Amino acid sequence: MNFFEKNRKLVIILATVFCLAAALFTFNKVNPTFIENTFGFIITPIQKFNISAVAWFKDKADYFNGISGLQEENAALKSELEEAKVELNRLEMVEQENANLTELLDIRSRYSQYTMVAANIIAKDTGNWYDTFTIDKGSKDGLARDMVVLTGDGLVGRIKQCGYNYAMVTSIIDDTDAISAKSLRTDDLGYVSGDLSNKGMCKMDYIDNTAEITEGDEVITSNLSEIFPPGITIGYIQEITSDSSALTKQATVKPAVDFKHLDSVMVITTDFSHDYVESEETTAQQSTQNN
Amino acid sequence: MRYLSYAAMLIVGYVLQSTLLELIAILDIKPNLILITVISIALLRGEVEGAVVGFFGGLLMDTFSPFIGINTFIGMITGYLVGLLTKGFYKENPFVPVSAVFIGTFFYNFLFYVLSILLKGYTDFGYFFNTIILREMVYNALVTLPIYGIIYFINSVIEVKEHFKRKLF
Repeated sequence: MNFFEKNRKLVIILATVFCLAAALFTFNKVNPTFIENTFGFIITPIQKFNISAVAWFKDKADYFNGISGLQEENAALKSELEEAKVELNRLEMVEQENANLTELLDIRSRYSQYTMVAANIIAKDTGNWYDTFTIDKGSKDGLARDMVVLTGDGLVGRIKQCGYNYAMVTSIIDDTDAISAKSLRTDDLGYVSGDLSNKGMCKMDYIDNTAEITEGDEVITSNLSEIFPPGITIGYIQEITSDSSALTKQATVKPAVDFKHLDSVMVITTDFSHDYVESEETTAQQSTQNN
Repeated sequence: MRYLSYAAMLIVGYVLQSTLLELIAILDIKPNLILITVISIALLRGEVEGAVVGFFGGLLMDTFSPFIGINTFIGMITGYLVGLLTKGFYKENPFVPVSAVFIGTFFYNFLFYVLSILLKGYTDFGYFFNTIILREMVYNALVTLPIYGIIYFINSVIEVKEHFKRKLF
C-alpha cells in the first residue's frame, strides 16, 4: 500500500497507458482473447443457471400475480371470439346466398326462353340394365313425347312415353338415344349416347379427327337437333381415344347431372321443333347468346 | 283365388322394386323381386304355372322400359325351365330355392344380355357379368329366403282351401 501511496501519479499514468494500449491493441480483434475465453468458459454456466433461476422465480411470481389479469384478458378474448363467430356465420350465409343467386341467374339466363314444368321422380326402371325413370307429371300437365328433361346442372334425357299423369324418361346414360352435341370451346360436333359398357358415362362418337378438343371441355347440345334445344350442358369430356380407323375420335363424357342422386327434374314444355323451323335466326341468336 | 294372389304378389313386387329398392341398392344393383317370385312359384307349382306367372311378371317389368317383349319372353322361359328342372326336389329344403334363384338369375340375365345387349354391339360379356349379373345373382340369392317363405305360406293356405273344394265337389 505504501508503494501506491508514494507513487500515486506514476501508478495512475501507467494504468492509463495500459488501458490505452489495450484499447488500441484490441480495437479490431475478431477472436476472443485467451483471457476472455477462459473467463467466458467459467462464467457462462453460472450465468445460465442464474438466468434460469431468475426466470423460474419470475415465472412463479407472474403465475400468482397474473391470474386476475388473465381472467380479464380471457373474458375480453371470449367476447371478441363471439363477435368473430357471428361475423363468420353472417359471411358464410352471404356466401351461400351469393352462390345460390349466381346459380339461379345462370339457369335463368341460360334457358330463359323456355317454359318449364317441375316434376319429381316417382319410380325407376325395375331391372339393372336400363336407366329409365318415371316422373309424376303427364299429358294433363302439358307434357308430351320427346320433350326435354333437365336439371340445373344439365341435360337428363327426354320423354319416351307420356301417359295421363306420368311420363317415362330415358336418360342420356341409357344407350337408346343419340344426341347431336358439340364442344362448347371448339364447336366440334359429335353424337353423344349412353355407354352401357361404362356404366354412368356417355360416349361421344364421330368427332372429326382434326378436332382440337381436350379433356375437361364442356359438351353442350348442338343446334342441329330437332328434339333437344341448343346450348344445354350435357357433360364434360373425360377421355379422348382415336378410332381404330383413325378417321374419327371418340370421347368419354362424364354427365353433368348426378344420376345417382336425382330426385326432381325440369321439363321444357316449349314445343321446340316447330319453333326451330319458323324462327331459325332467332334461335341461332339465342344460342350464341347462351354460349 | 290362386291367380288373384299371384297378381297381387307381382304387383306388390313391382311397386317395391321400382321405388323402395332403389334405397337398398348395393353397388348400384338392386335385387329383382319379381324374378324371385316367379322362380319361387315355378318351384312350388311346376312348369306351367311358372311360365304363366313368368310371362305376366316379365310384362310388368316391361311396362316402363324402352320396349315391350323381352322381359316377357325371358320371364316365361325362366319360369318354365325352373318348374321343369326342379321336379321331385324337396321344396322344404332352403338350399333348393336359394340355388334355384342363383342359377335362375344367371340364366335370366344371360338371356337378356344375348337378346338385347349383345345385339347392340357390346361384346364384352365379362364386364357385364362382373358389374351386373354376378352382383344381382348374389343379391337375389341373399333375399330369397324370406320371400320364398311368404310365398310358401300363401301357397300352402291356398292348397288347403283347394283341397277342401275338391272334396266337396
